[in-house]
Amino acid sequence: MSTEPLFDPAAALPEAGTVRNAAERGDWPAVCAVFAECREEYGLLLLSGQVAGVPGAEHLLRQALGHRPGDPLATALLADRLIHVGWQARTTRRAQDVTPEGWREFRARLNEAEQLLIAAVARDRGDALAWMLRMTISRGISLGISETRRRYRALARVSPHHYAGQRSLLQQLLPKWGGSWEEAHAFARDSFRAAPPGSLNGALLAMYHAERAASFERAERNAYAARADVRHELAEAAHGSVLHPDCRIRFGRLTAHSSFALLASLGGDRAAARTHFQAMGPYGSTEPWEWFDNTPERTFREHRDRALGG
Amino acid sequence: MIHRFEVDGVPALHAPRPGRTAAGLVFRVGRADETLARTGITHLVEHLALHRSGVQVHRFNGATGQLHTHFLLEGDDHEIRAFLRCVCESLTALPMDRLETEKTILRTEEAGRGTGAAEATGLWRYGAQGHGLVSYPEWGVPGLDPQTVQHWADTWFTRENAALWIAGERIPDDLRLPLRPGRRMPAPQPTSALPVTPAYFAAGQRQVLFETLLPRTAAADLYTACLDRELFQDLRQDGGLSYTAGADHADRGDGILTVTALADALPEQQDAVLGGFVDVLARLAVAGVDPDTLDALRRRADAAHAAPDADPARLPGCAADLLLDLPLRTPDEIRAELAAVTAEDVRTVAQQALGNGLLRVPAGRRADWAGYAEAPLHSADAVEGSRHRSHESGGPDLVVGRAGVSLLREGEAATVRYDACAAYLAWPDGGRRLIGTDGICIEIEPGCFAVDAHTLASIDASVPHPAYVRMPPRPIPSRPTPARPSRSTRSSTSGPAGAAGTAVRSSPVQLAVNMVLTLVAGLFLLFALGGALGADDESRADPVYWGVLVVAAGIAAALLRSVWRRSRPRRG
Repeated sequence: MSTEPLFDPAAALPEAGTVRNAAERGDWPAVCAVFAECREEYGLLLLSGQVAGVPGAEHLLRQALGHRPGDPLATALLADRLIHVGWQARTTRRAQDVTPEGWREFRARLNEAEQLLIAAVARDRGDALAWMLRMTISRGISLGISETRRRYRALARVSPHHYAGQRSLLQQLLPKWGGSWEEAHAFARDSFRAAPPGSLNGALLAMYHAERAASFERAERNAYAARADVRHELAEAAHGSVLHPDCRIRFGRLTAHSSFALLASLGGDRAAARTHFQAMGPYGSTEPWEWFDNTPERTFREHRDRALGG
Repeated sequence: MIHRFEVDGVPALHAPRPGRTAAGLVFRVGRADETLARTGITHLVEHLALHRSGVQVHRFNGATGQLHTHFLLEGDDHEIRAFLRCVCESLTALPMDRLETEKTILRTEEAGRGTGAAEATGLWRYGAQGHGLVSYPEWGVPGLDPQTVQHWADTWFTRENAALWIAGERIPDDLRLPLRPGRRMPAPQPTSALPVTPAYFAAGQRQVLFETLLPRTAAADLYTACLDRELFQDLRQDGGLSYTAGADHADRGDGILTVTALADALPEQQDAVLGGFVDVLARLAVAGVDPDTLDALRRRADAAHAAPDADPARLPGCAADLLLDLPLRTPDEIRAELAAVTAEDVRTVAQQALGNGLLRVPAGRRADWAGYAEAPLHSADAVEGSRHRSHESGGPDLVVGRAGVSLLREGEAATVRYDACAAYLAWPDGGRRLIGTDGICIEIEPGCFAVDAHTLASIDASVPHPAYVRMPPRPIPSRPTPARPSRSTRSSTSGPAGAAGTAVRSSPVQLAVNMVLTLVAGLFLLFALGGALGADDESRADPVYWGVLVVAAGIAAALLRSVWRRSRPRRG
């Protein structure tokens, strides 16, 4: 396949573009309509992320809250926007390189978001999107692993196999956030096995192995990805999720294939890599390629060309 | 029915009760009326006044509270007559030959006393004055002389500042209360050391504590019951995060309830307990309580007011209320108020509770993320004066000025102004500690600063005389403790001020005591339960039978409460 892959999420998921445009126009009813149509939990988070990325979206959202105080969607979207703004101030630099003002702004925005969400879950303990965002905040302002776990449990009570929540807890369980590889691995495996076949949760194992691979030096990454136990586990996870005949998931599917494809490609399993790249069709994804180098789009293209070529 | 009468000009209350008669004499004076430099003076008067009664075989007791001091006795008519007369006569002429002995007893009592929620939060909420004094040791006791003590008794323990209650079949004949005349004392105006609420401070480990103030209403009562239930449900039943999780309230004495809630935690679960705690407080304020839960809690509260001994049990509180001109209400009025409380009322109270709240989070944690402001650890500004470097590298500079003393480090100041100095503790070895009325504390250890003796002596001379507390010699610390600002209290003999506020686990002795108390409480509870369940028809109709069971259950509850209080952490 020689065409340029399309990396914009809106290319594969028109709703993403629709909601982003609606937010840019300040059309609150249109934003609501897109969310009302979305039937996938992970989709709600992706759409929320689209709105959160729109500069100035907070004005629209505060206005919406002014008309309907406590509106769950406006509350969650405003919180997500504030998290986004806070993270922009913090930048993606390593913690020790963030400026004091950066930290102050980061904390202030996340605290504000947190207080909106405390009220949201106080009104409705079943507000999954609010619990999900509270997990992000717990990690961001270091409220502790036990607190992130508590938030995950509250989310799991509403939605037992919440993929986005599991991705968030998996991050918290990694050594970089105070956990361990063993804990993280066990959680990814258990979540995959507990979920119904054809759901996205198998991709948690791809996320875990990609994180693990990225933690090694370049030379060792390929060896890790080629390990028989790793290949076997990933094959099982792929066939239990995105490659399962019952899989009807739209949101998150590309990223999942992208992760499986990356690991297969690193591990030299060209057949598996080809399967996943083909399943992605004309679309690309920068996750998890961006964990490995600064040119994720180019790396993605190279690996795809290698897998699909000849 | 409670009925009013008078004895020698002292207002009195009587409620009928079968069996032995109980009597209580209450004065409108307590720890909140003291100053930091004289803490313990009321307690000392209480001890001295009871000394002569102790020679006789009486079941009596005394209790010094925040705003009231009680003398209590159970006995026959003759014993009650004699006890009340003896206490009153002692108060007018305290047995000063016992002064030093009672001081020693008070020190021993203090050493064995655990600290509860009020002690943990008092100085943060009120500062080192009024209701905040409960956080501090009885520093005033060693230096009190006979004149000062008798003057205190003559001022506060007077006829106009007293009330009497009697629970029994009848009022004993010929009661006399030979007290000095004086005047009724109003309650002190509550102080505040919190510029903003809700506020938080970090101290101790393995525990989250919340304290708030609410007007004494049926809705506040039900809010406390809801908070108790929700904390237990969320943190223990659902979350499995805490063993103890609940809430209770205590009467501050002036128509205000102090509600305290507490949850314990394993070290690795502290963050989740804090998060869960914050969520419960928010949920009650935002969503309120569901009506079925409220009704169940209402029925439980109502049963307590409908109990046969409800009136006699209320007497001490009613007598105390009388002294502050708070209305005396009948159980029917209280039950009617309880019946009228709606879920919306409870939600309104929950918002008020959260708005006034003071949260103690485990050391190293914060609660700003949940909207709680950090309680001040520093002063807003420093005094001007001569500046002296610390001998310790990185230690704060000492500033001695005409208006007071400051410690300065990295732009942060701890200041105690002489005109707001609650106490100035002076040890024979030269150690000094200034404590401001806001609770800010400055320690100056000998040899810690490049400062001449003359300047140090000028502090001694500038501190207002009533704040000066001459401390007994203390054990020499292994190395000099550097000066440091803090909001600590009990550090005089137990290490540096910075260590105060850390939780100390129960010692083996305490554990043993707690186990024995729990066992005894269990026996009483079994007795009460067995009696209640196994009553035959004749017993069922007998009020005395039920009275005995209620008393047994009451004793069990009191013992368990004592165990709970004891097992809470104390300041280091």
